[in-house]
Amino acid sequence: MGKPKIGIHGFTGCAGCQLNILNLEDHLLDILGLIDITTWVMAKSDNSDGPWDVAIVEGSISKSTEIDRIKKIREKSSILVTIGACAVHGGLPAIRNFRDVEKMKTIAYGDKTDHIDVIEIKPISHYVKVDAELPGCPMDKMEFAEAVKALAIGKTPIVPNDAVCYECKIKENVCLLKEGKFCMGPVTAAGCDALCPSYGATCEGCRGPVAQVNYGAEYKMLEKLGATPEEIRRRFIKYCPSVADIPSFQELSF
Amino acid sequence: MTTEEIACKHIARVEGHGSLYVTTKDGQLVDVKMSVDEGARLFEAFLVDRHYTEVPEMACRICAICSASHRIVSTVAIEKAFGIQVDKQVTDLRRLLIWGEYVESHILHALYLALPDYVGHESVISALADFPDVVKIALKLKKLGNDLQILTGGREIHQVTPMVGGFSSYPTKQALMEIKDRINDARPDLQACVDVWAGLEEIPFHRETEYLAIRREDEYALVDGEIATLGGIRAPVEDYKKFITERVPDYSFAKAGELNGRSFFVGALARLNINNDHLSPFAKKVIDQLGIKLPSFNTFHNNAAQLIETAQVFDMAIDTIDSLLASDLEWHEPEVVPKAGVGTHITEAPRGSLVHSYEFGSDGLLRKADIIAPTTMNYTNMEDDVRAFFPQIAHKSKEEIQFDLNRLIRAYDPCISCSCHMVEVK
Repeated sequence: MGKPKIGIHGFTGCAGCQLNILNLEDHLLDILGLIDITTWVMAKSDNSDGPWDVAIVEGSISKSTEIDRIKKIREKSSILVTIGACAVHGGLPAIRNFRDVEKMKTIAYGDKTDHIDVIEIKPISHYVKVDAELPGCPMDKMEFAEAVKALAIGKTPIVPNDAVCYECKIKENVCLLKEGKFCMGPVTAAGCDALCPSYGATCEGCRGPVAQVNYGAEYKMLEKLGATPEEIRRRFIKYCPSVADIPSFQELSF
Repeated sequence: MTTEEIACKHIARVEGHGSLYVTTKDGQLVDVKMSVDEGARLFEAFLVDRHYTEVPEMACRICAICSASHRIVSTVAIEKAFGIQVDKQVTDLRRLLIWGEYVESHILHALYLALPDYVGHESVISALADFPDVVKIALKLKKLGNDLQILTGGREIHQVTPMVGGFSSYPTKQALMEIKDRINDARPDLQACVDVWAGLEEIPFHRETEYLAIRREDEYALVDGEIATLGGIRAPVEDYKKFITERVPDYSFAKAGELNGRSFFVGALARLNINNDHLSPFAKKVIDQLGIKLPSFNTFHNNAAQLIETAQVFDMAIDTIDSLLASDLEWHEPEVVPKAGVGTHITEAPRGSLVHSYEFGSDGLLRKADIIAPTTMNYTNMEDDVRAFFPQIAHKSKEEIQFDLNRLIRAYDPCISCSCHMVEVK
């Protein structure tokens, strides 16, 4: 088996997940030895139009022309992996799904906004089949390295299924909810090694909902700590606005 | 009469998605359009009604490569709106975070993204075969910059510890001492990269545009200062709107920055041109070796300027760490009382001046945000540079022209996803 051909594709976003690939300083040369990156506009000038054994996709589909682009990438790829909150859950820009977009366009660009192509932001899995998702804002670089190792030997990457609280307990962190802080750990998927709480900062939910998420229980807990319904809603719809499609979220009354 | 369009689609090795279109008639340039293909994210709009505790954390997501600068300028703008003063430890930790960002960002751009063109390679990956030592040294330096950001901010990008009023945790003195040693040990590595750069062929170019940066009289300004131009403007940051305007070019709806109606340059070269009286010993040594005379009006010098500034922040980081080691470094929970008000701050992101200006209500919710990123400011200057540079390369083949134009735009280290004000050109 030759080295798998990899295409790294950026859609609308901050490029942080692509940057986090470059941030794998200690492992970058080893990873480059395992794979053949044939497309990566952020890092290369000579870029192929496919096909790819694995497409790695960052960013959100935020304008209509990007829908065609992702479909073409899917057609030319055996495996498609999305990386980061924008690709997996919509990311921060998807907050617009819950607001008056015309008004938002005027705030950002002034009066002439007719030509600004802005669509509702859905996860990439809404448009094409996605074989694996690496969530987070940004995606965790070591999780990416593990995923590449798995893909290089023909396996599907495994993403953890526990809540951030689980990793916090392993690290023996002080519980921030017990300190009265509005932490999203109980409803958020682990895999980040509880990074933010380990630094005394609340989990902001960037990795999206944990399996069998119970938003009702988190709502009650934050309410008890003094959060208003609007404050709770803001925290729930932040990095992963696609949570609005989850039944336990829809049952809440904000 | 033959009209031809030379398109540099999807300019590679920059952050974000942009294209350049040049129209020529009988070999003469008649039109230049810099187009941004990045979808609109509407940051200034979705930040409205968000709480001050989360605004810097969200605003830093405008751009990953300068997320630390976005985070800190956003935080300081909020503190100004609320009238909060922070202590020297907090200021020092923020500075150290930014110095880490400078090392990482400048090394990434100068050596990973810009250098391959100069040594006949399409990427750092292909350059690895011919220049393994330089690539490995660059990786080591980039990691040092990132480790400084991790030490102070908790993560390389989209840091987690900075808060309005302070930090959620501090590094230990032990960790500060260790990284201080690593910075000093890395000086020969940076010197080795400078040696490589000093051997490159210089691209001649001269266009006397205006340069803008923040300036201080007591140090090389990177995080705080007043607005300054090479032409002599001095003004408090709150007055930015008097000078920096956003024009709507008649060929498109793209917004582009102008200074008093003309193009201007922000970035490493602007800072060197304006603030070179405050260069540190290491930076002076590097600039002497590279033989750059200031002020320089050659945009291609911006990449060398990034290496000079990397040496500058090496020295500044040692000073900042010494200042932190001399303090008690005892963490305290930030105390913040929100109040209604306006706060404006300008910092120097690695790729140029960055404005965040906010209006807050007494409920701590953001009412209004104005964010101007460096690449927005450089937009008009890029087009004017292309016009001035084109006659120099007009005799070349289309492929060579595309190569040279890509290299000119790349010299800016443009950060296209940052420029949230830019719109796609139809």
